[in-house]
Amino acid sequence: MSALVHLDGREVRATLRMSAEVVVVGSGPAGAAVARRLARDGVRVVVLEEGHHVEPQDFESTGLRAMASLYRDMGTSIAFGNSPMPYLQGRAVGGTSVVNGAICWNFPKPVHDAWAQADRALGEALPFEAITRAETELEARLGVHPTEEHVAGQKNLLMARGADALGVEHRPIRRNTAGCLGSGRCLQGCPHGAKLSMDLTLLPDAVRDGAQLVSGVTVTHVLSDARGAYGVRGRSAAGAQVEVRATRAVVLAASAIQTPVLLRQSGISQGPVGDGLMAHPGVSVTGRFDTVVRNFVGATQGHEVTGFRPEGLKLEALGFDLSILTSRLPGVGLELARRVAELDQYAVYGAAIRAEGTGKVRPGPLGPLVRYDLTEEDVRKARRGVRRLGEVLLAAGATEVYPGIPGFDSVVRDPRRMAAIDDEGSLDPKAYTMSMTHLFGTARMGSDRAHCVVGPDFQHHHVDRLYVADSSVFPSNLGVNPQLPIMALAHLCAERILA
Amino acid sequence: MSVVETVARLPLLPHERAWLERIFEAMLPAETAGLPTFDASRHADLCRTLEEATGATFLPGLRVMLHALAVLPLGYAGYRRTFFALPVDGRRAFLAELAREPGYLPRQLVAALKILACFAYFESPFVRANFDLRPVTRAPMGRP
Ligand SMILES: Cc1cc2nc3c(=O)[nH]c(=O)nc-3n(C[C@H](O)[C@H](O)[C@H](O)COP(=O)(O)OP(=O)(O)OC[C@H]3O[C@@H](n4cnc5c(N)ncnc54)[C@H](O)[C@@H]3O)c2cc1C
Ligand code: SF4
Repeated sequence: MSALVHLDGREVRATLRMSAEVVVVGSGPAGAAVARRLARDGVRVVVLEEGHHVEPQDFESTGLRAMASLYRDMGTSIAFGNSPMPYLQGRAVGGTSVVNGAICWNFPKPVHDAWAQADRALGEALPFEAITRAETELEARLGVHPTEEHVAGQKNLLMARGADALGVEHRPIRRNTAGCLGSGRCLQGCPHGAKLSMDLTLLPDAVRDGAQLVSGVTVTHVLSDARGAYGVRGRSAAGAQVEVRATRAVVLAASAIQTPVLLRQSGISQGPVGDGLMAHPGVSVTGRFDTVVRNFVGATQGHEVTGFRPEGLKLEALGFDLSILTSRLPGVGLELARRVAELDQYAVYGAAIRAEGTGKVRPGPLGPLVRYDLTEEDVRKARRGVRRLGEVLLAAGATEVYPGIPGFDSVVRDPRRMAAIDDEGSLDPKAYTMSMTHLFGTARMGSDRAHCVVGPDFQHHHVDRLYVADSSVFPSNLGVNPQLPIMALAHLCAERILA
Repeated sequence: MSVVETVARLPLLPHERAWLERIFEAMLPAETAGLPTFDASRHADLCRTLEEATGATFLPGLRVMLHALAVLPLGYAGYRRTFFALPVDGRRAFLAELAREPGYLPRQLVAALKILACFAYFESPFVRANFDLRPVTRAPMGRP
């Protein structure tokens, strides 16, 4: 057993009963930030995590094995809707931070303004200055800094070159890393311990201050009665029942998909729980260069184009394992084999879309049922995203770009053809291959008890002592990578519990 | 595990595993580009991983895809045989034709099987050794 983990559910074969002041479900950015802040003030905390603890040197190197060990359902969870797409989530001690791209953005002020305008009580309970204060402390702990040029690798440097040529704003991505070698393996878990994910930072802080982390336990029910929530029940990976009683608070930080499922499974279905799912769906485009790029190494996501944010788009360099990179090449059969022989000449860039589409999450017989629909405006943004990605790739020196939109040119070599996507690209949502990694809004926060699940103090409107700390509470998406804002709000949730 | 989940998680049958292997070879005929071929000794391990690590809806979906692909060429001029009865060139050509289809389902079918083929191919250390996977620097920046 590691020093971080108090008990490993794979070894818990008999009924386990524990007690604490606060029990936290989930050990991702939200759960880790809550546990750390509470433990610092001497609160007795137990964190329950479904996934397991993997030490950096034990992270798998291939795409398949990394996804099998660190991703929920190996990344095969699908949101159905007008453009069915996978939604990816980590399942490990440290949650999705273990497999994410380490990109850190601050909570955008305009988003806070919009929340406060829609709900004054929320704006007052959650002042922007408090969020900034929490972010500043977290950024220092997580070593957030811009990607250094010497670890960037070609894919990131080329993106900078392309954006420069187009005269559009861009910058090295600020990441939570220290000692990065530019191995390009962030999405498989950093084997060098250089990505400062939760398992290496906030969780050890919490444990040092007395928190107990139990891995390999799936929480299935929140226990509550007329007086409020008093614990959780679940089962260990070895099949035993686990029950943790909490005298002060039950905190759900299981993610914007699992938290509403857990609430509904527990019969706590007041308010729009599970409704209002929002996301940043992503599209990607592949380009071929005549020179060596080695997309599979260099800082996994080390550069971003921010100049298209007014269009609802943020462009990022993407780094993948060889397997996933190959799946993004055009063609099958002989064509695919020929391209694999020159695999080091391809780059893939992605655009995260600030979408207006919404969806629903419900418990189902085979796991969460997720529905998500893009609006027509979202599809236009996806189409524009493909255009912008292609333009940046061409400006960076790509000789060929593959938009991947059925009915449009399969290969584009000329920026004018890229621009023609705006007129000729399909508006069928299914024409775009997308995935979701940023999820929000399924237990939204606000003062209106009829339309919100938790209050501005993160506490459930109908069940005392039950708190939600993850991005389920966000009333909208952010338009930027959310891990740092999620940690900041979770930190503030802990302070509300302490108050 | 519920009855529904138990049924959904029934392992692939031997012929379904064999089909998968043949699809992979047609999807990525690496030897035609002078690259090492799939490592067949890893196939059972791959199937086990797919059976155990994926979500409960994955295997039923994969089964539907395998059986659909098996019969689809019967409806295409120039093929008129089941996918697995086609010669190897025919299987490659059919996959390429399906990938060009404007319809959503045929495209998705090819895309999903392509990802699996890519996972399977790059499981082999021998295959991976053909690519320069060294980090861009060996001199880490100091920790704060
Ligand atoms: C591939 C990928 C790349 C990303 N890159 C970035 C990036 O670069 N920057 C960024 O800001 N964001 C990124 N994100 C998104 C970001 O990582 C997530 O938004 C963030 O981790 C969400 O934090 P969370 O704590 O709410 O949930 P998670 O991190 O998902 O953690 C939830 C945890 O709860 C556990 N859990 C769930 N249900 C239960 C249960 N019933 N019982 C016990 N435990 C349970 C899960 O196993 C999981 O470990 C990325 C996401 C993905 C998938
Ligand atoms: S790029 Fe490589 S070394 Fe750097 S943080 Fe990511 S996985 Fe670690």
